[in-house]
Amino acid sequence: MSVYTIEKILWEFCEEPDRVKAFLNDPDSYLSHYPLSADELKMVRTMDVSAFDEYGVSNMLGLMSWTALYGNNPLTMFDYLKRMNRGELPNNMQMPTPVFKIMMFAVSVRSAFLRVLQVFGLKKNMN
Amino acid sequence: MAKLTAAFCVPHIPLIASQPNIAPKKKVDIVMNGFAHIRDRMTELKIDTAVVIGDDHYTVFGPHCLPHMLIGIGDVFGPYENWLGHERAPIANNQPLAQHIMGYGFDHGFDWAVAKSLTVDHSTFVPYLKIIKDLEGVKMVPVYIAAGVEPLIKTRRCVQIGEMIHDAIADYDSSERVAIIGTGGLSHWVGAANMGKVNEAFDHNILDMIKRRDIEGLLALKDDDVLNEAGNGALEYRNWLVALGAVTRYTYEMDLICYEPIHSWVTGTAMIELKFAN
Repeated sequence: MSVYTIEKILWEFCEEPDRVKAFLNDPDSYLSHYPLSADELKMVRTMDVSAFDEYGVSNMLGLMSWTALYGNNPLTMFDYLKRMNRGELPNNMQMPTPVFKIMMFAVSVRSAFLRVLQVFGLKKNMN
Repeated sequence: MAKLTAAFCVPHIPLIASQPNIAPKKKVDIVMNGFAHIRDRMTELKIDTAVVIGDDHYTVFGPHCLPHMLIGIGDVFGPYENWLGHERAPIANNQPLAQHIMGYGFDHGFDWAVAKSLTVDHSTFVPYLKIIKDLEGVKMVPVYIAAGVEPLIKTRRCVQIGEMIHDAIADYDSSERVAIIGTGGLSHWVGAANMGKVNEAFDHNILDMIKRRDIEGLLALKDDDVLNEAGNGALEYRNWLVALGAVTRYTYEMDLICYEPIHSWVTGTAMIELKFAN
């Protein structure tokens, strides 16, 4: 319906932990209560943070809702940054190269593991 | 009458409260020593209350209500965010002074949004934690302006708010000595693709303009340029403009306490004091 609807959905994730559980358990059912266009639905369903950015959703809210859904730890934060950069993880934080390479590897392993869970129907949300 | 006696601008990076040591120790020490220096100055200047200027990060306020300027006149708690790793607790608010600033604003064309009960986010909690909390008897008056979430408050209005806060303090029938603390980072990209980058040239340009008392230069900055060069977080220089506005009645001297580009804290990190005679 609008960027405002998406911001409302994301803000509610940050405010109400029960909503996080409901979304992660059954995102399609959860989002059916909101007036979203097909593109918007896909964006939120997959938590496509770079699409949020292009659509005009607040970056602050994108980041906070991401951590509300998936946890506030280095792995999820770097995964977020990688997605914001469309699959390329930049070393913006100027980590020493070996440490950064380990982080890149860990983020890739996490993504692969989540993909496997999804293939076997053990996880409904990709992230 | 009460007196505005000191003015500072400081960072409010949440990692200062939650995980400071992810930054290099040398840089952490410089910033923590900066906070200690400000605590010493607050003691030396016998400050009773600090008016702390913060901005929300889509945390305290949601899409249903985004105030342009808000003052906490009653109960104050903090922090809002549990991930800061600090238990939420009451914060001593100077309620009579807050209520006076609110009323003075109403009488002079500033339509504050008002919180009778406010739980502050890291923007005012971090300065409280690192400066005010351990200073016996010192209270805080929390002020929020729309510097983080659009629609943003106009920069000139920020200076006017600072001037009004100065005048309200001068109009307050008390012998209290008051500080104003503008908070926030310089260049930083919060949740954006460039998160972690720091634009040192931009940061030094801002500091140079403050040093030269070039308020009009700061007001001439275009939001789109700030956003492109220094990130969405840099728009928080509005918080600093409020502190600068509070001292425009004086010929202040800027004391640069520290500046560090801290990539792991994702922010250009500066602390200044605006010294003036009152």
